[in-house]
Amino acid sequence: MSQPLFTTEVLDWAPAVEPVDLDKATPDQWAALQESGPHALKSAYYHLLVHDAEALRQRSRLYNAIMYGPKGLPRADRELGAAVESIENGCVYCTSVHARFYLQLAKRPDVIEALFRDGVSAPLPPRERAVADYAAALAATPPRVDERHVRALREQGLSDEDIADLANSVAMFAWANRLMLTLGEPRPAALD
Amino acid sequence: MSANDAAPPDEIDAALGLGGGSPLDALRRRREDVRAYSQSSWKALFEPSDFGDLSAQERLALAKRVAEISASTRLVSRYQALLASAPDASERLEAILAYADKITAAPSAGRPEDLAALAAAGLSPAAIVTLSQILGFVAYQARVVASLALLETSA
Repeated sequence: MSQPLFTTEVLDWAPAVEPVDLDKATPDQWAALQESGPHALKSAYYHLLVHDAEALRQRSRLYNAIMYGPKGLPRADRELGAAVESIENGCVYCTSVHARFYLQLAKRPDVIEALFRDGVSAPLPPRERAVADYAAALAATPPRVDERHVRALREQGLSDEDIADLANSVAMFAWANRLMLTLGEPRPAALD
Repeated sequence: MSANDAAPPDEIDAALGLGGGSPLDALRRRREDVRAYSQSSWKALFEPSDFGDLSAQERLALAKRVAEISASTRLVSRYQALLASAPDASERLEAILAYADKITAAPSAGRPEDLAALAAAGLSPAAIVTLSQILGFVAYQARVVASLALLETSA
């Protein structure tokens, strides 16, 4: 399968549905944006999602708990799971962000280069192989993850708690990809 | 958030039939905040203080359809039970379910005309956002449920 044009460059994202006009935002919508982080105030993606302020608020909390929660699976593996899910779904925007985070944490440009070039079937080191295979199988609709994927992760030293952390990251990006892919599209970043 | 052993069973427990004190229950409670915000996300989408422009029936029918395409029999049963009776057929509901069929199976297959079809069926931008959050949330939930069930059988 040919790959979309994946990149680790910083991209913008343009909404295809009318965002909330911030001049008319309710106090609750302002609060939800502020709680989602400083980037949310300037992001068209958040300005769109804040149409449903409570759904955005709870989703942002869940996202942070899954991706940044202490201990458990190393953050690099969570980011690799997110990146593989995003590659499988063809989400260029999500892939750019999470491949970049993975690179910052794991310092393995070879892994990202291989995934961008050949997709999830690319040759990978054993641990990354097990994580990527599990993530791709869980990303599929319906999910096709099975005992072999779990066994491969255990052979790389992952506990059940670690595997659950990976599953949460992949599942979170099944959600994120479906928002990013359907409600707008990536654009080259504007130069400030 | 601090661990709270008294937190009641949630929608994931309900789908899995998880009882308190089981190994999977203990594993879920290790990340109490993930568990809590998973449930508060569910509540925001299915028990909001204001249903706005997307009815309870439309939300549940959409969730059930996403669960069906995701082959999550546990979630299909759960949303079916919450739906209670078949929703009234309408062009609006047909448009919502047709969109769910397309995006759930192939998230990158969406095109501007698919959003235009939702708008033409009467969905406001706010309703389209909530619909998209439900579509995404149930995709998330189906994978959490599938991964936990698999951990249990791979013991």
